[in-house]
Amino acid sequence: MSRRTALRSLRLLALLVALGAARRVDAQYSVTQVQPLAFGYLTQGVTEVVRFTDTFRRGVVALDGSGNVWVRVTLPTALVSSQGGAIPLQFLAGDVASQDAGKQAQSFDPAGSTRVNLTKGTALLLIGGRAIPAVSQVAGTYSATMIVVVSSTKF
Amino acid sequence: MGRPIILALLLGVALPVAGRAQSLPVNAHATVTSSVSIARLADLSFGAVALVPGVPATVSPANGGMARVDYNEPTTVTAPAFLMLGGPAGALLRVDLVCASHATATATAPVTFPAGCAGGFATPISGNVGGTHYVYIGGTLAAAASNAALAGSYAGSFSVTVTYVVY
Repeated sequence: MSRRTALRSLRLLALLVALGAARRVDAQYSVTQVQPLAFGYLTQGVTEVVRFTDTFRRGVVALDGSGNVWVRVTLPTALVSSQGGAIPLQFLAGDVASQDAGKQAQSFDPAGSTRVNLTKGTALLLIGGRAIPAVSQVAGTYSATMIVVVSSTKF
Repeated sequence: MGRPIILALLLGVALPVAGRAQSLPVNAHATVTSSVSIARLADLSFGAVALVPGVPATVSPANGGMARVDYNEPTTVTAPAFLMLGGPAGALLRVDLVCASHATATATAPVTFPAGCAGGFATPISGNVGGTHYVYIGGTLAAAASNAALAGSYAGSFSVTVTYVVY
């Protein structure tokens, strides 16, 4: 191989490597809150359960992107008020579900992650739960934040 | 020249789709409804002993009327500063009220409202829960007020009011 040929080969190699690098694509997901988890009005001492099938009160998160992703929800242990009050929360098996486009919702263990297929369109994460106000719970508004994490790898 | 091409293609294939995680905060909320009530436990009475015109009379809060307030949020309890008792032939007799509060119903020295009955009293919230407080209401009949009062029975009414935010 002549020096000139070798140089051409190297240039071509560099070009192809650059093309290869260009093929490297960061997986992009869109995660959007459609509606919050709304327990509504609570009565002292009465546990309020929101099912993931409750269209109006469940939390809904839309997931867009491509391929399969893994989703986990970091769930809060309590709703809190600005006055320092707290209402314990529970998330049991069957309280949280994911729904691939065109398929039935499937519940999963809220303590773990679940795989969601985004190939056929927007998938939904449906979040229910239980709020357990005390018998003499202080009146007022309470809130909490959950974190939805989406990753291309299982975690 | 074939080798570099093959190598480059392999590199291109081997480069993976980069994994990337995203996170989003999602909200949850609830409202605990108000549960506030007040009940009359005892009336304010100057007793069976007759009042003497021109002589002052006093009933201490601990021996006066009483109301119970149950609440699950901060409230303000107020009563009028005075009331006019109605007597015979439309006669009126002024009684100035003295209000006090305590966590129990059997206090001998309840805590007087800091700004009088009309100034009110803020029920305390302890930690994460509401509670119960008792309002004690005494009265004072000034000498001047009864100086020219007609003989007979006098009675009147007043309201104890609890103010709170409705959730």
